[in-house]
Amino acid sequence: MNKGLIWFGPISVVAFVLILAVMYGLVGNIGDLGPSGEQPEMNFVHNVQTFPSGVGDVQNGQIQLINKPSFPTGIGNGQIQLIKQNNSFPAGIGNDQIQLIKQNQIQTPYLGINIGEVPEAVARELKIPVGTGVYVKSIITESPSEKAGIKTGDIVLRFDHQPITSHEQIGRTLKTKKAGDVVKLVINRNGKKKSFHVKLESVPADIVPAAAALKKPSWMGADIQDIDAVIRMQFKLPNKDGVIISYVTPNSPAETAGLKVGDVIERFGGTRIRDVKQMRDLILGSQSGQQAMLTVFRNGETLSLPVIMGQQVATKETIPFLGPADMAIEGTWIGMDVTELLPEDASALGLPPSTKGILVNDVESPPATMIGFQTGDVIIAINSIPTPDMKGFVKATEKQSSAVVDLLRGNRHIFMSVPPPGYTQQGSKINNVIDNKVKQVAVTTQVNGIIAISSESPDLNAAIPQDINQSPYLILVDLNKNSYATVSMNGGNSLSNIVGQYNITSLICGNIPVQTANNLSSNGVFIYSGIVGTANDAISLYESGSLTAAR
Amino acid sequence: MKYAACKKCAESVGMVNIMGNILMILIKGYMGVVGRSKGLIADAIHSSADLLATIIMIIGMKISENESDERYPYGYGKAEYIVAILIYIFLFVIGVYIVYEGAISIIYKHIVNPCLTAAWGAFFSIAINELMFRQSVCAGTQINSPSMVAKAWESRSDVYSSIAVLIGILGSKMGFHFMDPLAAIIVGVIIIKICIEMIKDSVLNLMDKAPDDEILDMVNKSLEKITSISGIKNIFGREVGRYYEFQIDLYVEPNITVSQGEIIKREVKQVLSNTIERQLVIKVRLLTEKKGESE
Ligand SMILES: [Zn+2]
Repeated sequence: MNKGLIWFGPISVVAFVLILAVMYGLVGNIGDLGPSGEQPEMNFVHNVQTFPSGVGDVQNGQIQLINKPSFPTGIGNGQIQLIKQNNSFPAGIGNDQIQLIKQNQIQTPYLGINIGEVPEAVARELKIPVGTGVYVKSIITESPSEKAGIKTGDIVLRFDHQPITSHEQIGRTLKTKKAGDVVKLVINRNGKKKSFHVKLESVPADIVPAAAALKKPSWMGADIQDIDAVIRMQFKLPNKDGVIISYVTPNSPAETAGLKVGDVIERFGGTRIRDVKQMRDLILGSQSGQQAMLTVFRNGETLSLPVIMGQQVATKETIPFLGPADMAIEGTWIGMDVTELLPEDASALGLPPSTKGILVNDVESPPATMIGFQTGDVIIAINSIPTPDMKGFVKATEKQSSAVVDLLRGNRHIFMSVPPPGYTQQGSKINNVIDNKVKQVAVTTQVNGIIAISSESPDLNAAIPQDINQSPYLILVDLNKNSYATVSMNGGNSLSNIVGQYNITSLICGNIPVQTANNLSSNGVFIYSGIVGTANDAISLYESGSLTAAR
Repeated sequence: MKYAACKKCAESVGMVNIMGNILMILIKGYMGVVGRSKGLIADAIHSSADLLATIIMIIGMKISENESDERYPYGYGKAEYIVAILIYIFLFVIGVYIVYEGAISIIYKHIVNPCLTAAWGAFFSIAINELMFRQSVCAGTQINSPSMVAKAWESRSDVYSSIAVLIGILGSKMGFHFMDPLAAIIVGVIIIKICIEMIKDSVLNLMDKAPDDEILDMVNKSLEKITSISGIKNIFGREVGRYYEFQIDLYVEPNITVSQGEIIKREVKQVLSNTIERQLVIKVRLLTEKKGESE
């Protein structure tokens, strides 16, 4: 027998064992390895036990997905709120509703969008005649609409070849369809017409029990969000684990428990929190009145806070008389047009008229388009600096190159991460965008020696200033000795002096004038420009070899 | 033997075992990963360990058949043990890792939430192992091979390990999330046990351990029946691959001729190969009895 052939057997088995061992380690740590259908399944069992009388209703009756503008934010803690309605409620009628299940157990196919009237401000902006189209208020995750590429803020002009003038029309048309049918949608997105083909599906199983549970939904009253690199940097978090609170509803269980905006929920009872969906399932799976112990990370400390789940109370806010429109004060920021939010805009967007903030009128160019801002978003704070008016907004955006924007969309608070120029929201570098004036070269060998990092203050946690000419300090880091020193750049202590004096081999900074950069690099200094973040971030980026020297 | 078919059946046992194990590794590996069950993945690794044992045995046979050469005048028989030691040290590490990871999952309350797919994998494994067990026991009894029956009981222990995995998966599904990793730990311990036994065996054989006492007894007894031998000085034996090698020193009458001596040697070899079921390499030296040493 061939010798090679003999060894093929054991080697392939050993290789297979190695692969299995790796997979073995992954199971249980990362929940999303396979199709996740477990949590909802558990929910279902749980719900049947908890609401025995509701089950029959669910099957015979109708479940509506409701997103009423008058509800305070934070309902149901998720992105969508599910509320069971009266049996007699006809499908697809009423404001802001999406119909999930049809009567008599014949399921209307599932589209997965939350629609409403086109907000006046949006209609005006896009020059859409009144009574044309319906506005997509939100999209259910992994729904057919999301898969087809429909986005929140789109305006549906045609549905199944018919011009759409009201949202009831969509419900009516849907009833004539079945799962598997493909429906064509013509959409106005930021003034451009696009068409999409949505393949309808039957209602996913997990939405039904979730809706049943929400007959009396367990409610915590905090908006939560997944953590990306920018949020992590802004809130100085050690890692991306858990979910961050973007809003705490007044008088909610969350507020009573002492949860605050910016808190990171790491554990719910004994369960480690991976993402918003899991957290939402856990909340929906608990019962109102039940106490859950949350492990919360706040300002470098880990706290344990007991939360007693409550029930959402729908409150109706009275809309006061609105005066004539003020003159809009306009501005621009990272590729979008913004105005001060007027009370009439607020009511058109379904927000309380007392809402103060900056309204996004138009998202025209990157980075805003890439980040995911949408027309109709209301910015209420940037990096925790409130932006009630244009003055505050200008102040908040003045010195920011990376920011976490607190905005209202529909009735939800969202933390929108604005990455520093040249970076994605996940913190990875976008090639060739950093500085058009300097050419990128691949780094060949890491240089040992002193690294200088320009800094706002003599502290490794201070931010790197946007411009090296405005940098008050340089932090000199010796990685070999794991030590650092700070040098003031005020008082005639010029950059080239310091570089020469301290034998600096690498410089990490924000923007740097081409001339200065050329001078330094001709003296053999490696320059890493366009970097945003803290000195600590820069050091870890440098050590991991992910910085690229410019020449 | 009840039926003629039993002989054919017995001959197929080895191949059925290899095929069955390969099939189970693939099913359990795939379903374990897709169904997110630590226990089932661990059990797939366990089956891999069993399969490797069989493969090593086959390789050992192939190598022993290779003729010896100038550099290795005694042949390549021992390579089998070196390979076995290396592979089982590797599997030992994997076994320890399985136990460790499983414990971590339990301590840190990772949510191990297997699907029903995984339960099917365990179920298949139980069924296949049980069928293989039945075949081996039946064939082994019919052809009167104790070693085959012993091997069969080994498949039975695989059935128990898969049952533990099945219980773990069902337990996890009922909300006891620690049960799947717990099953994985049990399987991990079984893997570690197999490895320790195999490594111990291989090391002993590398060190030229004497064959088991019962084999030496058998040799002694059969030699005593040969009348032309006046006494036994010593019997050294060791395992080389699948061979037994014996060095036997015998006392004979001092006045026999060389050709009579050769007849005695041939007789010894004949008798031994009739008593011992393995291939033998026998070297016989004939000595004349010295005065004072006998009786
Ligand atoms: Zn086994």
